[in-house]
Amino acid sequence: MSDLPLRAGGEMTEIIGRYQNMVYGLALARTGSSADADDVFQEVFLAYFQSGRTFRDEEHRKAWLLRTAVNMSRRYTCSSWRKKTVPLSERREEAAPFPSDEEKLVWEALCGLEESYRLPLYLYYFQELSAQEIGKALHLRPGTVRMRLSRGREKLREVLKGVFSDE
Amino acid sequence: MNRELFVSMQKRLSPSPEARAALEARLAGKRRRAVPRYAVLAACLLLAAAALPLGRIVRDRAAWAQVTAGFRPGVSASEPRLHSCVISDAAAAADHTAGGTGRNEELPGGALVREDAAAQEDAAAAYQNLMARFAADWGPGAYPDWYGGAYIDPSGALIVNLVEAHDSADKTLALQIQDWAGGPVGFGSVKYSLSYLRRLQEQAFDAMYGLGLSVGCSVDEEAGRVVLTLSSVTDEALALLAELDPEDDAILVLAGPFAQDGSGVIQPGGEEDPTADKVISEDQPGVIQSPEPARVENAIQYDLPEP
Repeated sequence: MSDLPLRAGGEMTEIIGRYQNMVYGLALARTGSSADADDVFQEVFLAYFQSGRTFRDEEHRKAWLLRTAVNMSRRYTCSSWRKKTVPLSERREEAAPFPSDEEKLVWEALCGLEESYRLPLYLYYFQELSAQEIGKALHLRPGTVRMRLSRGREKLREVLKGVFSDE
Repeated sequence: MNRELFVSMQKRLSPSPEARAALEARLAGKRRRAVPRYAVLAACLLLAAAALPLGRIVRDRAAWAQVTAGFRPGVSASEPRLHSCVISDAAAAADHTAGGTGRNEELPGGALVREDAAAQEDAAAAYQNLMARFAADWGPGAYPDWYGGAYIDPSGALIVNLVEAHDSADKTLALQIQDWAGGPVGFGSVKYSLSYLRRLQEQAFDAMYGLGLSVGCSVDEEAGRVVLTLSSVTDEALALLAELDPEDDAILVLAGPFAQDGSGVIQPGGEEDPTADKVISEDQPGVIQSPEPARVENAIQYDLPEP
């Protein structure tokens, strides 16, 4: 496969347009705050712009953006230098607005899960990644990813209690 | 679960227009500030021309010492800076490792446990929870930059050391740690993070091993430092350690006739090996031990004072 050279300008706009929802959504699932997710979104693409990396293929680039989004989000949730004092549970209420009650229910149920289940479920259902791709993004073994997906689904089903039909 | 539902939701998970505009502005600013190519080339050539004589000085240690002597008060230009070293016998050396001799093998990461600690089960469980959280979020064997290590104090409480640079007025981290541990946690303060100390441990061990010295090396998470035990010490070893630990507070160097089991392996803290005729385990957490030591030519032997 040929390298895909990173170039600023027109290609950058296309890259942002293609992956902005993926990066923002992952950051929102990780931080629970739309303001923080906006910041992470900017930081990820700035890092991408400045890195000057070349990628083997589009999947490689996507994996890099996912891993960077996870790492950048971590700084916002774990940094001891952050001055925000709003508890995490309250910040989740300012998440992305969904017009339908169904979507709100699903998102709130997802955000109510532990992070170890929330992120794999988000990547699996919203980004349609495989267990192997999720493992690369989150530095987990595929077996661990499958276990967390399975347990996360059970917890999600308990919360939603038959609102949706089974797959 | 309905695939169309998730696809519809994903479309709504987009950054705000303000964030998008701010990103475009920052990207445009970075492109405008890009330095012309030829200016970069000229700057590189200038730097290379200036660095050549400097490189010769750096390679010549004596000349480098002359150059840097002015920046180190109390240090003569002709003498290399040496790391401090504690000359002791085995019993005194054991006191320098926090918690005495107790090491709970059940605690991954090897948090030191005092022998007289009471009711350690809760603290051990809290520690396990914390390590599991670190492994999940930072990866196996990795730690956050604010984490300085952990230990169980004599009262049986888990104490988590935070790096001094952490903002002590910000209580959110402490609350988060207690939440992760799932139990009461006390906090202490250390200068260096555990990640830094682990890297320093590797570097110190490699440096001493490269000199052919018998060495034991561990991280004292309670005191927040590396403990390095040497059977003999040379000026070259102390000079190397001074470079690794410029402020002379991250590594405690212990030198003396520590117990060896015949294979040249030193027990950390100078403990006598109770199984002297058996092979020392190589996977004791947090402890690096050297294999067959080579003879050190011209090693300076420090004599112990008479009791």
